[in-house]
Amino acid sequence: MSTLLQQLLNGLTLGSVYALLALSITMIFGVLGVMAFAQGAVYMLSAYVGLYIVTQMQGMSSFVVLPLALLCAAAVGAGVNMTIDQLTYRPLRNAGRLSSLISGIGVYFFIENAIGLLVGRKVFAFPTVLPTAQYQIADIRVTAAQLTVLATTGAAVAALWYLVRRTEVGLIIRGVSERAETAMLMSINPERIILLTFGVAGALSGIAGVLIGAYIGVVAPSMGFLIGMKAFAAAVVAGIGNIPGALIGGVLVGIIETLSSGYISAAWSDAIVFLMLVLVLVIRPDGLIGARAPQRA
Amino acid sequence: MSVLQSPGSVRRVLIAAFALAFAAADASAADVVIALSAPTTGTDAPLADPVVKGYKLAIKMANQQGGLPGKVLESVQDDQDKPEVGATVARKLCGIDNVVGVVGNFASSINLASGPVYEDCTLPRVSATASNNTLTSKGWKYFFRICSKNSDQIGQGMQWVAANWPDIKSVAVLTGNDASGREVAAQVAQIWKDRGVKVVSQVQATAGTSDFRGIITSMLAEKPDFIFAGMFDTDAGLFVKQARELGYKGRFFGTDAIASANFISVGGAQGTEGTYMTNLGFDPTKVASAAAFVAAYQAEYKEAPPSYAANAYDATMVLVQAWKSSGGGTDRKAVRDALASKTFATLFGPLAFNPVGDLAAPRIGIYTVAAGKIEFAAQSGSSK
Repeated sequence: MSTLLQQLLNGLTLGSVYALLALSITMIFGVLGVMAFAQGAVYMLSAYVGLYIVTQMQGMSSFVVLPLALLCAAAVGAGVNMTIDQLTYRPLRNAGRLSSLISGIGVYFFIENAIGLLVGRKVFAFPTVLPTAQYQIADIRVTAAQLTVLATTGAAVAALWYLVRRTEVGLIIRGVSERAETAMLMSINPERIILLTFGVAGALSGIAGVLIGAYIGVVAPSMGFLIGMKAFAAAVVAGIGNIPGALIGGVLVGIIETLSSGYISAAWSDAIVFLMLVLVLVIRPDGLIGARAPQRA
Repeated sequence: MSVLQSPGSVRRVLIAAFALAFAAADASAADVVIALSAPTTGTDAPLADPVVKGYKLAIKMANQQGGLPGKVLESVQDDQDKPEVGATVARKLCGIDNVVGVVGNFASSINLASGPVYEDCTLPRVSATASNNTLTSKGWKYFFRICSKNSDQIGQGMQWVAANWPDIKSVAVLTGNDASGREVAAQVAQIWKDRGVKVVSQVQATAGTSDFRGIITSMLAEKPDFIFAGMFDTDAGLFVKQARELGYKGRFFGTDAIASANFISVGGAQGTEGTYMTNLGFDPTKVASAAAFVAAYQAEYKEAPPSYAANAYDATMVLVQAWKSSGGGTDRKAVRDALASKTFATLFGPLAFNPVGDLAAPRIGIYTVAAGKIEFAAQSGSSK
């Protein structure tokens, strides 16, 4: 039983970061109807930004360094994502979803290769920046690092929830997601909302990048690919476009991956995650909770 | 008016033709390529980096030392540690006539894919690092290796462990999910079972896994006091670090795949402290006969050479010597015959291959991580 609880904790921590990425993907899908494949690259890029900040500020207290790294990564993630929107998605607004998807894939590989060439394709170790304390609660080992990751993702999700549910901007975002034409009739410019959404999504990806870099301990140019795929799986499994769904989906993917690697087979754990995605879509094409696709004429 | 119609032109043309023939003969007799097939991109690139450096230094020094029938050219081919890319590289090198030998491949799985291609075009390979046992039991005639094979490494490693840590009661085995990994896992498990020690967990993980906590938690539930961490350095580094975080207090033992600075950097000096490993080959900085090589490497790359670099250097030099003693030229079979029959001078003394391409006398070292560095701990004798 204690092993199971430990595994659940491991899976929850990993899953919470998947959830951040899944949220960013689902938000973009919500307002634009496009699968933002480039999110994995933004995530990776932000991880490098975080690595840079942490390396430059080595020796200073984690209480200062970590939030600063997260903030910078979020800012860079937001900026890069908005640029990606303006340069590669916006010209394709009326060209159909397939064009945007392909464009996103191209952007992903461009960024991955560019970073690989710039900094080298090797793995970089992330300096220790998460607290190292460990606590033994009954038979379960809880590390301060895990708690920090959970707390940070929790805070990010809470901030997002507040933005979407309690602010006027959030209301507008939801409005544009549901009926873009009607929103335009209310003299809301969807373009600005889309840009803002990309910004928020980029910030979430950035935070996820730094968290994973710090939690796992390595960054590499290729780190965004598999995790981007899993975040897709997470977003789709719960229902694409559905914000609470992305959160649940992300945690679910993290838990399934961890439990599979512990109880079934380490080598098959990734395959099982994607198999689950296929099964869910075959049985319930709208996802477990229900997709919310934007209504477009 | 054509050239042949001008007076004295026929003679001039003949002279020109002779000159051209000599020039052509000169060029073809000279330069050959000894290529390297290793990952220069991808997650295994850091581990293979010393191999690339050792190889390049060898080519440079071989040409500098002179006395060769011609110039040896280098050609670094990135096989990305992927079987299909390794096979593509093999086809490419096969088709280039003046390639007389290949240092490679770096990883055993790639050798399995590229081997048949190289055998077909009779291109000799000397691997500096591929340790999977089956590579020398396939009846390949053009494959040799400077490193000892897994069974020697594992056999001697576990022998050392049993002799030095007699208090081990339960063992867990982690390896990668590839040719070498499966073989090593089976061998380690068998050795401990034969000694009457329980093997409580056997896991094969995918290379590139970043979060091992699921695996570790299940493994630790079985309470092992010795974990064999047989993966490549980045994976093993993360595994060791995360296992310590999750409360594992027992011992770790790895293979040559973790004998690198990357392992310590990824796993953290604290997490990796006290991890032991075997290594295919000796530490050149601790052996007097390799001093010149160490100095040259230090001057060229501003860092001390790890054993992989020495192996790659030796593999390259052995190919150069074999080519030289076969008379130069581009006869691949002659190079192979020289490899099979001669004794070569290497950084660690004379070396010869046995009939299947393995070292006649294996070279295994025991190393440990001490104060953030890989230190030589003991030298194994010949295999049992």
